[in-house]
Amino acid sequence: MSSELPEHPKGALRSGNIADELARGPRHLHVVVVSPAQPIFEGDVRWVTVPAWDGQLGIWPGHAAIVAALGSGLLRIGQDAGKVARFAVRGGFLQVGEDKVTILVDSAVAEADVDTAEARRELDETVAALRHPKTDEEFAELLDRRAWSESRLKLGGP
Amino acid sequence: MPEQPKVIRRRIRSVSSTKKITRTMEMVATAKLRAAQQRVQSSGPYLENLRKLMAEIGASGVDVSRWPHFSVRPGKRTLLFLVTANRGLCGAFNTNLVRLARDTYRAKEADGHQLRLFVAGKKGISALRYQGFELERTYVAELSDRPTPQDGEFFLGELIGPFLANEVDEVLVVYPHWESIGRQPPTVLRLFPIAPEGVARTSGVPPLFEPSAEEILDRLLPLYGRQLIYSVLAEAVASEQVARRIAMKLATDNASDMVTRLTRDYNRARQAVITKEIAEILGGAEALKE
Repeated sequence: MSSELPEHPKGALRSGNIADELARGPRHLHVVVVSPAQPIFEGDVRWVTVPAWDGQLGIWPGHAAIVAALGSGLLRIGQDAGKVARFAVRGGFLQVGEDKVTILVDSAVAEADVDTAEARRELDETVAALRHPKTDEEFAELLDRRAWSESRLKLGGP
Repeated sequence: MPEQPKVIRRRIRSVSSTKKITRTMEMVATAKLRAAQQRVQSSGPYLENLRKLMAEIGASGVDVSRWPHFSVRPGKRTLLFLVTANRGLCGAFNTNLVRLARDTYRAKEADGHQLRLFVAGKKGISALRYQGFELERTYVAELSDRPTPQDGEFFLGELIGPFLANEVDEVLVVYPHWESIGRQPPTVLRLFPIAPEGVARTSGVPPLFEPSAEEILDRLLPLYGRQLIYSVLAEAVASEQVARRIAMKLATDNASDMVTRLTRDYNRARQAVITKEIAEILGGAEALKE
């Protein structure tokens, strides 16, 4: 495979770079997703995006070691052959190190298990409550609930 | 004079129906055990990973003494939380737990500790009350057959409150620790203060913390406590079902033995009656002949 590559302007590609990686085939991440009550997912995948506390965070193989707090949103796992597994997740942590990704979530719903009607109802309730939050904590909690409902609705499709 | 066959027959019937009951209870326990064991096994990975995260944070040089959860205080006030079952008929399960709780209590007391007792489970409550202990809080309905992480959260609130309010210096939990399906020894677990885990880092480079190690620890601690108690509850339920299954299996086997023995006695007694009757008839016939 490396023979198909164009010559590097600075000479031959050194070891441990793209040429070797292409020869080896794609690198994988070993991903484990667990919730307090059950394991959710485990497998070797191409990439992962997680809802970090302040926005989406994408992880490809070779990512630096990181520990991050998660918010509510969509967890997407890119598998081989372009397959993408999607989960709505809420709260927890992400830990990445040496191509191992551990995702601890408070709750998770797989694409097939979304109850859009319930999510819609919860969203309406939360939005109504958001008009008159009493304390800052309640406000934060309501925002989180809203994000959780919205991510489930998004997962459930239109 | 052997017993009347009729009396023996009645006993056989009563033992057989007891056997049916114990057999059913054994099967119910087996079914419940499967679900309970599943719960124990699936709560493990989450706790394990929380521990790893905590070690990672501890190794990154965060000063954990800022969190009261880790603070080792010199005081001698102990909260003892005992987890037993709400139901009996499970062999020595509850007795063993109560015994360990009592021994721990006495040992701590002799060491000059002041103790407060929280007990979950009807059996533990009545056993300790009977032995003259004063129970500060008791939980019966709160102890579920199918514990959830929410139950863990409830008990965490009960136990962490006194610790964070500086009313006690340590929180101990007595519960059956699930090692395998064959072994669930009653165990004392120190819930608080959490031992700051001085685990050596595996990789050389410290990880990035997003937003920060402190903030992550803030979020992690409640989840850790909750999951730890959730797994205690899950292990207690699973161990109870194991103990009940064994006890009920023994009872069923004993009942089978008893039925075998009684059947033999019954046949013997029946034979004796027949023999006696024949002897009487023969005796009567002989008497008539003369």
